Amino acid sequence: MYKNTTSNKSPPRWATLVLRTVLPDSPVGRSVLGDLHEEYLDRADRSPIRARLWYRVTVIRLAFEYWATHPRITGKPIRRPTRRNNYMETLLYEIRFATRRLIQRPAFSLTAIAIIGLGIGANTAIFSIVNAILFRPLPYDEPETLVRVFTNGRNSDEPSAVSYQDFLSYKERTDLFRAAVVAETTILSFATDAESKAVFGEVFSSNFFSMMGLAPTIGRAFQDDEEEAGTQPVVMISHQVWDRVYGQDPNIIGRDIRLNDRAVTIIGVGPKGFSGTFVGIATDYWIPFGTSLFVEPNRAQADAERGSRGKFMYARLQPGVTIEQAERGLSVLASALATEFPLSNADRNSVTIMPANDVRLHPMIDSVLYPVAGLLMAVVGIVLLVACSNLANLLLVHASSRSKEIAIRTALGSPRWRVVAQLLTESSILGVVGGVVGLLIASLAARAIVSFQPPIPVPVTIDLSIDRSVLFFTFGLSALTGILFGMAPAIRGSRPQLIAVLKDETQTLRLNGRRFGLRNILVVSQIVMSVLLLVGAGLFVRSLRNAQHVDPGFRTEAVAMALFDVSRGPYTDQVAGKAFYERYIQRVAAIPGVSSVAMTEQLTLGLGLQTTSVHTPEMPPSSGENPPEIDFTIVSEGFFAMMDIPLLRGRAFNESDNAQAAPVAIVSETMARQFWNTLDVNGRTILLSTGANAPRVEVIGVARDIKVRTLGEDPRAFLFLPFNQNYKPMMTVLARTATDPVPVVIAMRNALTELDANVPMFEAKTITEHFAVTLFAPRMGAALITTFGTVAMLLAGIGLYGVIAVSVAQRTREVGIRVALGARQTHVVAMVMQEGFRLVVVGLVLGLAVSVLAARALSSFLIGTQTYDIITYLSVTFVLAGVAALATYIPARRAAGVDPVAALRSE
Amino acid sequence: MKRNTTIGQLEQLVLLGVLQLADEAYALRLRDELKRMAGHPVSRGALYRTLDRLEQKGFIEWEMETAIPRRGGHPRRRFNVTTAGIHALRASRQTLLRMWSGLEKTLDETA
Repeated sequence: MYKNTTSNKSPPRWATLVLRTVLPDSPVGRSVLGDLHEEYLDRADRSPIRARLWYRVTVIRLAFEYWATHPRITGKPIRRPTRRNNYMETLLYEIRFATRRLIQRPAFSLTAIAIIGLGIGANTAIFSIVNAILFRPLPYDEPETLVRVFTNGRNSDEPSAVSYQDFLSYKERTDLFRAAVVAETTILSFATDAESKAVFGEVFSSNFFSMMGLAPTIGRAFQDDEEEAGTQPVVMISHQVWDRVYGQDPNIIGRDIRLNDRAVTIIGVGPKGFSGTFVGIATDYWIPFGTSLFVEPNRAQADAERGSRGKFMYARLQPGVTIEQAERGLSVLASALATEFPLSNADRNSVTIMPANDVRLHPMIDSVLYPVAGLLMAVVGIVLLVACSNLANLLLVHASSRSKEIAIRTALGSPRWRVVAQLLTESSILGVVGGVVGLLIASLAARAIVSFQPPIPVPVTIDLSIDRSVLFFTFGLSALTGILFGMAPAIRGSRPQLIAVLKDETQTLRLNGRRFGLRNILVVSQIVMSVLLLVGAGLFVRSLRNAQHVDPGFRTEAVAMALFDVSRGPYTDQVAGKAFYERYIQRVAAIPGVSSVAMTEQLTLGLGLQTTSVHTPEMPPSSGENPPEIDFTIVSEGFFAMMDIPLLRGRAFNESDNAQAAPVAIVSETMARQFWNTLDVNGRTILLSTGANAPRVEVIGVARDIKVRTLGEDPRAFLFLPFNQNYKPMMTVLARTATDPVPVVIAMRNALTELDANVPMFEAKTITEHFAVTLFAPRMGAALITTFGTVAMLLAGIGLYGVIAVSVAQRTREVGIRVALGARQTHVVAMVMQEGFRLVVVGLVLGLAVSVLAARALSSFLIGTQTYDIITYLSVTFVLAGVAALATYIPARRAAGVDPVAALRSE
Repeated sequence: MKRNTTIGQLEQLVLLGVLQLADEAYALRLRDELKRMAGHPVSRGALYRTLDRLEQKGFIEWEMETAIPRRGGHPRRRFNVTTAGIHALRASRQTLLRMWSGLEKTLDETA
């Protein structure tokens, strides 16, 4: 609000600057500036937003007009530079001359700019997202000296987060690091007067800000002693929150806020632009470990456990220490720790150290993101190629329509290179202006793409501000487009054809002198590329459809779910927590429409993932081999019945499986086969290594397989543990509904607030929404590739139309003769369409062939879909044939309507 | 080179507009006036260009008024039609009248 009111009083600044540079610094120039200023204010009184838009558009138009066509007022006439002038002036002359010519042909120029804008816009949109996630330099001081340290899993190619205890050992038992910190994201309950809500925060080592070189905007950062428990609880808030929630109040320092129902003092505001260590997730409240122990008492145990690996470690190496040396040195220590603490570290005997700039989210996630980014860039790259060959065609036609002007100029002694230079200047200007338009399209498109929030309770925020690399990318691309695709038409167009042109013998001057000229090649290649993209799009759509029909092995509808953590409120111990869950379940069961209630720690196919290493007395862990890691979850009794997961052997959990009874577990069908080669495994024992005391657990049942991580996965071993024997403060309450689950979701939310407003609801949703998470990636992929494929197809359609239309125009005389000799309309239409379809068939055949080869690269992205999916290829063929029919029919109709007398007289 | 003393349609409209506005003949007002009286909008570029050309031909002159805040501290030009401009208008009117004479009936819209 504040910003708007001040800016209304004067027109947009950059636009005024543009105008000032173009207009002369004379009374006349200044009076024009004044005129615009006045009119801006008049308009701003009515609608400020429209006024600003109007001003910008007007400035651009005026600037062009004055600069290119109106020498008098600028006091800088277009004068042909003499030989003594320098190159700069010659260049400026060419640019102004070319601009003037482009303005004189607005239809041509606007079409060209729109085509380039579309192509470059698609590229810049995707690039700016990829750049924001994968390439943008980290917001820290000297990011090149910063490294990330990961404890390796069983294999050295599985780097994982570190535990707090390992971090302390790494830091204190070596002298490899000048400084080291850990960071961990956390969800905090932030209490206002009315309610408490879940916010994202991070727990940092107390020296985090000093090591990263981040200075607080106001207040102070953490002090060294704030790492320890028992110190005054403090919090730093992000600049965004300071701005959004506190209106940049400088007196915020020293004020108390309530986090997890406990008072914490604000000591500082983070630097502008820093929103935590995670790309894509903005965290707003940062606390040191000492404060974390105060507001999250449960954390104390996790921090003390060497096996609890959830923290990301950053470090700065000692001067002179290389990454390889550090990695070797630290791996020696890791081996020592493995011997010292076999229970937690047996399989963790090496580390991975990487430059911080090379890690975006996590090495494992990054390795998935890079191919996705590559695929998307390839897709938009193809769109740009289609756009460019379209542009080349347009330029060819344009050049041929000016053949007379060019011929005259050549006749008057203009050297050919000069003509080429002029045509190239024109196409470069089109490229650059198209680039500006593309930048506008891109900033809108990128925002639209990012606004497709993945259905997770985390606010994904990607900073899409246009930085230097995006600008460089866009304008590099535009210049390349203009020059590369202007080159052929310029050379072709400048070919001297003096006599023929001047004699007006256009008919002997076929654009396609040869049978299969450049223009046809361009159209065919556009068709080939569109086929490629459409096949890709088709495969993704099919894959999405398949994913939607995969049976995950449990109910997928009429279930409402609520996720919260009782320990964020006052229920920090197990007895109070269990009692609270019981009361909540009673309330939910009483909601109208709810038929049964159960709990699970996390429903599979979400984002959460936890594993435990499992071995059996029959297969004791040998020294060399590591026990397999099995995904598991914790469920309450009634879970299996409610979710329709049949038990193939044994029984489900019941009340007798409590803390006093012997520990039990239910295994999945695949797990039973994997460990014992049979389903009859009741009474067998497994040994789990979660936490410190590998508990012995007895198998009491075998459940049918469910999908665990992805819908496309092969059957996977899975383990269920009973809630009553494995208390967790954070659970998902599931309610099966007889009716629409949406009102039940709302009722579940209200029930929690009524029971205790201090316990924040993390997420309440229907199971359908839960599934949207797994379908998000296929859906997004299908949407993006279909969009780009359609754009490419439309461009190719326009290209085909253009070629046929020009060809028809050139054959007017021929068609006239045919009609005069008695050819019927249908014959003429057929003849013209035949010409078009020759190109389409060639393009389709080539395109399908290329697609069959290229689609193999997609196989890893597809779920249950073969890359040679016949239906996809057939549909693409039909769709493209339809577009081609339309694109050729329109000019064909026009040809058929030719009046033979007029046609014959015209030449 | 002989100085061009004939005036085109838009030039004529602009000259008449300046006369109509008298003391209020500023570029912005002129544009509104042309839109109101002549019934079609004139692009900003075209208007400035025409004013410029008319000045070159010696048909109009302008004086600079002091800057006011409403214009962001920029000055304002007030236009005047010169004697030569009046002559040109008069000549143009005579020409038109001569050409119109006798055609009233044919071209009368009510007819």
